[in-house]
Amino acid sequence: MPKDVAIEARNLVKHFPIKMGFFKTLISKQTPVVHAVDDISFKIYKGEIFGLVGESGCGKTTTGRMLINLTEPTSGEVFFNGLNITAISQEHKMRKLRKNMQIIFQDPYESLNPRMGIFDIVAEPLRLQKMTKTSEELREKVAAALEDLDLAPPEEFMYRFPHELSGGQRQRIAIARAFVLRPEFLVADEPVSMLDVSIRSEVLKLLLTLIEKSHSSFLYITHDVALARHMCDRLGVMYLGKIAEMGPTEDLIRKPSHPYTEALIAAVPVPDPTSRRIEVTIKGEVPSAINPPPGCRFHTRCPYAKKICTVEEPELKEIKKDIRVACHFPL
Amino acid sequence: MATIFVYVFVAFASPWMITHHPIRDTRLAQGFAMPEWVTILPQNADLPRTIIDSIYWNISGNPESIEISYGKHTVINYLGGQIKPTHVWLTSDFNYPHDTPPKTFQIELTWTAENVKNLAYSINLGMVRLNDTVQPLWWFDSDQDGSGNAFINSEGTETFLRLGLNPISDNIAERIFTGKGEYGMLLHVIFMPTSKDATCKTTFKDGELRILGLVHGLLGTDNAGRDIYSQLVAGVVISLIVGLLAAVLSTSIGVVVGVTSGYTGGIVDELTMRIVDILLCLPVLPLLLTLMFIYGKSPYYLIMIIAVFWWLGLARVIRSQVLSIREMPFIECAKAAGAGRFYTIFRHLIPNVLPVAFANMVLAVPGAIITEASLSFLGFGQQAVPTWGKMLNHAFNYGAFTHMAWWWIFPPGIAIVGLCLAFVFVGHAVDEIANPRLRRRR
Amino acid sequence: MSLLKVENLKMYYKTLRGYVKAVDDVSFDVGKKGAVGLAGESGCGKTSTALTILRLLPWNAEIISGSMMLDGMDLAKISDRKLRKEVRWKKISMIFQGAMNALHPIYNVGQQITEAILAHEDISKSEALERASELLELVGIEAEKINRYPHELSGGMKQRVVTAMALACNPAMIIADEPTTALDVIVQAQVLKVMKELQRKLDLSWILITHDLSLIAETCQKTAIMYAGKIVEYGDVVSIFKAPLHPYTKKLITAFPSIVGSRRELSSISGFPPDLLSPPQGCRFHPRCDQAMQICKTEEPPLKEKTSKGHYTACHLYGG
Repeated sequence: MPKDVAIEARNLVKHFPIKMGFFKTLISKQTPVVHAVDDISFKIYKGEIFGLVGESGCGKTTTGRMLINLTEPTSGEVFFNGLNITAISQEHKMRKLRKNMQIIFQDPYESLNPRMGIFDIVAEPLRLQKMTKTSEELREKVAAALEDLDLAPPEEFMYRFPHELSGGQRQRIAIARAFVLRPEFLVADEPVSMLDVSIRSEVLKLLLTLIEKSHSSFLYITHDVALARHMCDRLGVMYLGKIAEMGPTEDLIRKPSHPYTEALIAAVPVPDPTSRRIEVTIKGEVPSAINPPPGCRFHTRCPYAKKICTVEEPELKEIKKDIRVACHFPL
Repeated sequence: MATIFVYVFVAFASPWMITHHPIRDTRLAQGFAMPEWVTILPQNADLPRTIIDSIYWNISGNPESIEISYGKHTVINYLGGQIKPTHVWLTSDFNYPHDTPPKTFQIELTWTAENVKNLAYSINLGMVRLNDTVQPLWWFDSDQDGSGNAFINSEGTETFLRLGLNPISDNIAERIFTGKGEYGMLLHVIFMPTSKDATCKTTFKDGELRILGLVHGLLGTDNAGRDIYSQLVAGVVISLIVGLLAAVLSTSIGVVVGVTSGYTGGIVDELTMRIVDILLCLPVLPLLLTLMFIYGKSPYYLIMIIAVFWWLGLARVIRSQVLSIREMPFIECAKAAGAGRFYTIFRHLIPNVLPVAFANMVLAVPGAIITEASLSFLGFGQQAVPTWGKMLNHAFNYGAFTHMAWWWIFPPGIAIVGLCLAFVFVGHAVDEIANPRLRRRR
Repeated sequence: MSLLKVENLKMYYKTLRGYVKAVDDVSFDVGKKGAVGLAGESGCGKTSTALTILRLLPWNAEIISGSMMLDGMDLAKISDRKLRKEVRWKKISMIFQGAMNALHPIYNVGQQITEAILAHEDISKSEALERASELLELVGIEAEKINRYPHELSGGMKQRVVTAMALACNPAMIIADEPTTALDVIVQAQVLKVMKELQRKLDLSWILITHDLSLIAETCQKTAIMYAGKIVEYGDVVSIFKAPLHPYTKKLITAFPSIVGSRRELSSISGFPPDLLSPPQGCRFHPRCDQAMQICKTEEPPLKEKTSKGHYTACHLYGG
């Protein structure tokens, strides 16, 4: 059954220029850039949860922000329901579209304005998008949003301030704020990594319920592969600004095709002391994004690297049903 | 905080608290008179306070040929009828209750002589001592109509000349007032007719004897005998106004510039910061002096100029605050929800920047006050407005240091320090309140 | 044959509002070459326990009772001088939480390790430098990097430098407090590998403090699960993970998603961790426990050996 594409990213590139000293700019011919995201293309279907995993610095957060046009890509396009949103240059045109895409950030302490009351925080998107006509309506919507996240009775929370609540509660407020507009597409950047373990699953459960109810498409960005496996339908594994492998979660986890995916999965600790897994450790550290290695970016650490990997960059190709890998010698 | 309330209260109550007009009322006491409360100390116990006595003349004896009427004025009418001179003695008694003599006394007497015909008259004023001798002080002789406002200052050059005394070593007051007791003022009018139908009508009004005390008021007097306490209290109002206005103004400018610069970023930010840096290097006080010299000395100019220079420091701090707040996720969420630039600035940035701004404002007040005081001290500032800096300026220029008049030097200094300290403490407290809010609780 | 035996340790923080019972009757022991994991969520007292062992406590902390026996010495009672001279860094050293970010930015790595060595050993500077290079090799960093500055190194390397510093005086035991929290998965695996190797090569014992149970499952032999200042379950790793007894342990284990096995529901625990100033009466976990009985509200369950040998738990469900 062909699925509708909600979001499509085509050849997204984001380079961040580096500030150099004054004299260096005179001497060197090119400004060095950080290759945060280098030519990424993927699709997210309606109603699915797509996970973007990778280590820190691989570009997943930047990609997420480009998808909802919070960051302008250096080149490439993002299509939302077929509409090219990167081509919209005027911010006020973009503003109307914004109600369909929202974001949840990692830090529950910094994503809420400490000087605003909870009611105002959750009501803000409604007010900005002029979605309600009367203050009665506004109040109802805010109360409903809070109840959706098990913050009941809502009146108890509406008139408090962020610093009076715990981390878990604050993150729920951030989620409530994101969902109050009933967006079609949501990005969540490590939404639970700063919460205590026992609280995480509650928040995630609520999130999943909300996503189901609203049939939204969801991009879940994380470095916790185990968590991504738990939450997502499809996964995209990023390394140094490129997608290494992409496909349905279980397929990727059980039988990774890219050496990096394999190493990543092998490195994840398991809460079972008796499980003996293949220890595949790769050497070295992630190379600098300012001067990425030529050819396949992973070749410096890949245990299976061959000569061609140092020269030619592999393309993201579909090797099996729905699984795309960027490797010259997929496993 | 309490201190500030005291100061503000005094500022508001100052019109009632001022006992004397700080500038106009001179001659309240001896110049450099010490505060009254020093009389607690035994060696100072006997120092006299100012005595102001209206003079009421009483005739002694019963001279002929004249008609005296009392009332608002004392009128002596010479009726004529004889050729020999007539003496009229008028006295006014008063009590001097101290053994320590004063250094100065002043007598004011307004007199007129009308319808003077065929007559020469002589008006003589003297002081009656304890031993009943009379010390002449002033006289006037004429045979014409005349009038005058005699102001007899025991320390005045005219008196010294008349009496042939040495101004440096002799002091009339000390000579006269040898101890406690009843003294009197003697007005001796002599009418010398040249014919039988001479007439003369002399009127004496507004008589006042002022013995300048050696102690006065809560804080003594300055060189001209003005009450220092009143000056101090009047100064509160000015200092508070200058301080607060300048602080509020400069904080507002600082916040606006800092927020705009920090949020806009890019070249606007760079340019603004360079300008701020350049301006920061300028020496404020000399510039202020020059500007005041050119533009006049109104205190409002003062406030404006202080404000113009003070916002610089704040702008930097605010800008860095803005820079860090700008990156916070909640700002991005607002953007994701569709917030525009101005909305973000007003709804998100400014409320978060306010604590810092407020703390700075409270701390800017003492800065402004001291700048104003410095300027006044150096001599810039309007004459009519008594500020603490002015007081110090006067003290410096008019000999407070040579006279060791500690009551003139210390109070304004202490007042300035006290007010500034009060604001500094409040500022620190505000700072502490502002910060924990931004601190996280895990 | 235990290296460190902690018995009934109680350490409270004195505050204006009373005593915060951060470590309340904690007992465990670390054997030679053994690795014990102290697990629990934030605020459960695991870092406080670690600090108590080395007596690195703030001025308002007080060891109320209990003992910590190391080589015949009671660490709770010996003098400060003796502790400094013989124990700290010589027998037990510590890798603090966030230590990799606390490296001095102005001194290079070699200088910092040398400083640690010279603070405790009476050797010459060149000898110390040699030892520093040795230590770097031990943790898997090329010796040339000795002149690098902290900002030139990656997170994983910095963590290994801090480990090298902890090894300066050849201690018998290292306490590592959340050594991998800020690190990526692969780097984390590398650091853990280093830890396991050191355990093998140098007969090093570890106390690993973390909230991530999977780490403990991979590296430790024994583990103690802490909640609100108390140990709720203690025993060897296999039996605790395979057959957890305490309700908290059960929920905690299943709260972690697993990359192997089938995809399952994550468990969650309702409520909030208790206030350590006035913890709940009876069993401290009872307000959040879905198996709580009447007795749990009034009587505190003691830590007793249950089912298999060496597996302790403090829960009324198992009698006691």
